[in-house]
Amino acid sequence: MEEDLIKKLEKVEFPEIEIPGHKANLKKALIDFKYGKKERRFWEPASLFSKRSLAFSLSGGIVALLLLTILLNFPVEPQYALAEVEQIALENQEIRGLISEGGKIQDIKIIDKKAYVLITDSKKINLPAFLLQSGELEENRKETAVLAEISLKKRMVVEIKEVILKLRPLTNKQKERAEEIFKSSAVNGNSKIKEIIPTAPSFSKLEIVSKNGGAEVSSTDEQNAKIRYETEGTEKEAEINITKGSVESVRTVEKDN
Amino acid sequence: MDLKAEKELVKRAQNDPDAFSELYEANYSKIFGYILKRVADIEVAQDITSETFFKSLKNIKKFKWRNIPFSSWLYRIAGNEITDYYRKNKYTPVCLDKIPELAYFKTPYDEVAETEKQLEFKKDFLELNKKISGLPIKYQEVIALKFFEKKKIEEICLILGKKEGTVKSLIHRALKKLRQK
Repeated sequence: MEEDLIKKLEKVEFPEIEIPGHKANLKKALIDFKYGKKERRFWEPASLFSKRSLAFSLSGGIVALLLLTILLNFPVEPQYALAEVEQIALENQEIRGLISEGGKIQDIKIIDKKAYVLITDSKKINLPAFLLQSGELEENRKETAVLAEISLKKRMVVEIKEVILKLRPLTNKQKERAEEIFKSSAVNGNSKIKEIIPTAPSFSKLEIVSKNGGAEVSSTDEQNAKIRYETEGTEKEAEINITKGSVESVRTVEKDN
Repeated sequence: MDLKAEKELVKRAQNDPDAFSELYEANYSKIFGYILKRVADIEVAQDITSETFFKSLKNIKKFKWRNIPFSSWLYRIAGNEITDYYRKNKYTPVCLDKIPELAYFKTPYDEVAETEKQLEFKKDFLELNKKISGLPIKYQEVIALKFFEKKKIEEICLILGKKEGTVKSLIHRALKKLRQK
């Protein structure tokens, strides 16, 4: 009976499985970890017993501290991992469609082992001829953004959602500063301020940020204001750059019929 | 590769990536195969293989040459990790924290799905594996090394760090237990 079992054990067909991707990636990662890092660790403080001097050790320590501060404030993802994420995103039909229509990959982040890709699209809108000729609106654009979540494990896009940007409310101090800039400008005249509102964030300055263990889209734009005012029976809107202290533009507000 | 050449390679691998690469190429397939035969799960086998090579590389400077093949040391590390997996009924490789790239570079889903399909076809093996995995770990180890890896008693002794009599007795008792399954 034992003979039978031994024969069975000896004759059983084993899975001859190879996973070349795992083999190659593991080898690369291990070599980078063990030997690659060693070369880059120039900031490592030298041992007091090594040939390096104490002064060099201290300067190495300061450099290391500075690098650490920079890394903590501006986390960077390994470029190859980001390139991998980008490649997965571009394999998705929907994302490819967005890109072919003019969208662009604006930001890629890996947060808590999940990857996110932000795609923004800014399109000129074809305006009716009379509006273009009037010169009131030189250009009109429709801006959209989508955030794609990517599973690195499955190597696929698991969710694509449209980004809905919220206006960041102005603080009282910002409102006061905007009013001050407006009143001291030549635009003011005999106008009557109706409303001070925040400007919409610029899509070109959006980025992915980490929030509550997930990803959120936020603008790196400086907070600016718009002042709606009335002058000589016309309602206008002035865009105020609070940081520069200047009025950037003025436009007539179209009245809804 | 003879033991003398391997000794030289292991020494060089402490500082030379090419020497480590040579050791890796010579051992990856047999270590992955051994782990896969023990756990019968593609994802777990990949994780344990990663951890085995990570630990070997991390401790390569501590590796003392005792005229034992480098692969025996790898088998021993892998065996310890497999034991850990069976005891906890889950596996969390430490190397993923140390080398985050390993998580980013997880094998494509399609490739894993394809290999899982291949594994499903080995019905006799899976049936046998199910019975063996029900045995105490000390018996699983000797059965796998003796019958799956076709190792000689002498090498099993080196891998497990046990005497010949102990290994023979373990095999005998393992077969007896397996017959009762």
